[in-house]
Amino acid sequence: MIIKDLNPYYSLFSEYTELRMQENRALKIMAVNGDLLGNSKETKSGVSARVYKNGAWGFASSPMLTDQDIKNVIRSALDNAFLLDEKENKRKPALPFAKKYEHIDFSTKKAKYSQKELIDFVKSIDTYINMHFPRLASRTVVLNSLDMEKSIITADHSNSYSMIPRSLLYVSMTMNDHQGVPIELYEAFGGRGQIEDIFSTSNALAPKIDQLYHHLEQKVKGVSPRAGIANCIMDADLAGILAHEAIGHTTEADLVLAGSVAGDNLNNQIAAPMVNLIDFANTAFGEICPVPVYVDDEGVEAKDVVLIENGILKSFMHNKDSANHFKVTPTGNARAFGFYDEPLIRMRNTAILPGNDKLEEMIQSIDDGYYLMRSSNGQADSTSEFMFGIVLGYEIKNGKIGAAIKDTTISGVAFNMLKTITMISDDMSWGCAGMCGKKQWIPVGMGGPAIKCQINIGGK
Amino acid sequence: MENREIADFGVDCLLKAGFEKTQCDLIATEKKEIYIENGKVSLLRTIFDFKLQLMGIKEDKRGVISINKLDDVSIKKAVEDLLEMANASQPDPDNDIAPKEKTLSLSKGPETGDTGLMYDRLKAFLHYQEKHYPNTMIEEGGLEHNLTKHYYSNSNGSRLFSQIGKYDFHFTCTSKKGAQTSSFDYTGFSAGDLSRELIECSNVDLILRNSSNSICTQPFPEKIVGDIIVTPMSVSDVLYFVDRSIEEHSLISGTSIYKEKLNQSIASPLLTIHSLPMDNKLIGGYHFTPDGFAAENSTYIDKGVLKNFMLGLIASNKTDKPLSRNRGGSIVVEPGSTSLKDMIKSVDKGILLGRFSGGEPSENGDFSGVAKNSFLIEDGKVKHALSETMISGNFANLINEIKSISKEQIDYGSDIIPWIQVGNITISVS
Repeated sequence: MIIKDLNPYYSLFSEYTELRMQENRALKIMAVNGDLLGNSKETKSGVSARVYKNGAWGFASSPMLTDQDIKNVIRSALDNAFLLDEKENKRKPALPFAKKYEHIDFSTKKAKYSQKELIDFVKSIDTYINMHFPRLASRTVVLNSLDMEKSIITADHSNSYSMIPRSLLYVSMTMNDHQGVPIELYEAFGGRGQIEDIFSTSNALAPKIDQLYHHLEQKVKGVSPRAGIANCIMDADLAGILAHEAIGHTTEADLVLAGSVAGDNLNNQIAAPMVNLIDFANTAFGEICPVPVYVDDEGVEAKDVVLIENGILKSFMHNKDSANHFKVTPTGNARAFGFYDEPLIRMRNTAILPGNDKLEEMIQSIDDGYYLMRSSNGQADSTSEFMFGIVLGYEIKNGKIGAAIKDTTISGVAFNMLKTITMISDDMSWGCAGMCGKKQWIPVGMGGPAIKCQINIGGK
Repeated sequence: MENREIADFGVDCLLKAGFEKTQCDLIATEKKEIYIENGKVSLLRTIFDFKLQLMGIKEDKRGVISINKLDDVSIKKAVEDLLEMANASQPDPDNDIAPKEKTLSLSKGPETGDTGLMYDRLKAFLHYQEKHYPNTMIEEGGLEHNLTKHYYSNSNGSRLFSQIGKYDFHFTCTSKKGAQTSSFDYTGFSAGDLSRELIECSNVDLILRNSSNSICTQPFPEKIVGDIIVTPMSVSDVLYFVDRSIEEHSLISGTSIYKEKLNQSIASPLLTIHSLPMDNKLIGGYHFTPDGFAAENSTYIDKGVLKNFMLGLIASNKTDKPLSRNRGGSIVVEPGSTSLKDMIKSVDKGILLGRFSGGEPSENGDFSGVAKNSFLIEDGKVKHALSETMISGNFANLINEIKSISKEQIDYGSDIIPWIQVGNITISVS
């Protein structure tokens, strides 16, 4: 349990200080071909302080939470800031003032499942797959959850408490093709909330698992795509990762300062006029986002950041430091994963906004191309060049879905590729399992509609 | 209680709670970090943490719980939770703990970090970069001192202790001139001391130079099937596929393409890969495995022949394949007999692959991805940096298609890796 009210320590702040107490609770249950190989829990809690002195930051943390430990952490962070300030002598101005009070708790109101109920749930999914799909060479079912509970106060009198949970179920299936080569497909189900609020019975997931198996059957008979530029429909999962990797990272203000191509393109047309992209703080289209952030880890109220409006690059994501540099208001994008981590500029819920087209009509509009549905991983560059692994996709021939394709990779330069977008579907969905790596791993939301574009695809 | 007593206390509590086989791992870590952001030193960070991991087996049912508190009350509560977890689990006769090992107490590397020297080395690195590579920006990076003290106890009477101290340096850089920007590139290394300037270590200078030379890029001239020279930074992508195929999940699930290949040839006879966690010449490493066996060095691929899997006790029981007292890491790929210069000379048209940015390889080894921080090789010479160049192939085939391995190696402190020339890679352009 963490202390929700850190106000009693405010009097110890002699410079700009952030004090954060945090507990991350993780659970993992894993069955591989019916054997329960994972049955684990991990709790990590502690306190950290970060102090700003003339442009130098000092940070310290401790896993121990007594009154004296908290005081020691504040003292150590202060000492670190003074030591660095003495050496660096940056003489940078004070950080922008930001004050906000917030208390957000997404804990379940239902009775918590026992460990036996959780294990039985995983086993029931495994049993369902085993009974219904005997052609599989291997199956893996993993249930994991992460609760992130934080309390923060800052020298600006910001005061926030949050408990943001996420629960995911991964189902992975492998089937051998006619030559005995293993072909794999997996999917993550779930999202924001504790397990009790996300998963009820295995029956509820059965249609999705059936669909996953159907796609795998098609993939086993799949063909290699032709290498080169192709007309493609990128489904919502891909549009979300495009929004995050290819565009989002280039517009994080620290990467702009480091030379990202976005720095030279503010207020320039970088995408087709139908493209709009927002990093949502906590709520989109009246619904709470997958990873809602109300107050960031610098105590700043989190606000939506419009990155692209009608194809024009409009703004960047900021922490207090970068906001000072660019003389703008901080956007609430400073986030830390563990109590021992310092806040970095991170995305929250990044999405391309829906358009006016119907997915069916988008597919019908392509004579020879690909419908790309699911990605394994992605990486982007300061140049906006990106790459995504594709684990599920189909050929489009004469406006109709054709054969599945084997695993491949797509790549492009986002600021060029976004100009090739000619259709955007009128619906959108959020990916539920995003994790972003940038010094620290952190959960993120990514979403979008289906988009029609031209893209470089790897293959034979 | 002292840390050793806490590890023993954990085992005792588990036994008293009714577990028949137990182990307790206490890992105490301390980190001191000086961090660079956008070319400036920005942060001094000092942190410490604990990980107390309790594992218990009761009636062949197993659970694992980790906390980062060391007081009696927290440990007893964790044991109580673990009992519920194990009781809820399913019995599996393959669950077990390591037999009693000889008491082991080993240490390696510096116990404390010299903050003043760390700062001076970092500043000297930044000054060198600014002077010699003015178009290059250190996006982020840091110099850390890391200390790990690891106490292991189990109910068979094993009492193991290991202490590892080391310095770790890493950075990510981008180069920019006008509106043109290079791809980001990165490197890092580990060291037992800071006796040398950072720029003199590992491939630090090489990465800065390549970044600076990668601002203006051109596409690969045409689609071909040809050679690539995989730089040491990219060799890790190949090793990742091999690692993944010989570790526990792939072998238990049966999806590894190498599951029946022990003592058979899976790669070119030119390729030998060691994992040497116990070698004192390498920085870091480990002295015992997570399941409580004294660690041993291991050769995974010897002249192309697969010699070992990477299996712990439970995975070994489950697969009926040999136990390994090694969990990878501390990798040394043996050098070859070809100089890098001659290797480049031998390529008519191909790529010097600086970094591979690709999708997760398939279980069968198929891969495709973008050649980043890479250069065209034409008529035996390294030419311009490449843009938007895609490469594809199959990792299992790639390690059989090795044409040569360089005499030269990059010493990352924790790993030592050469350049590897491979053929039959599809290179395509946008």
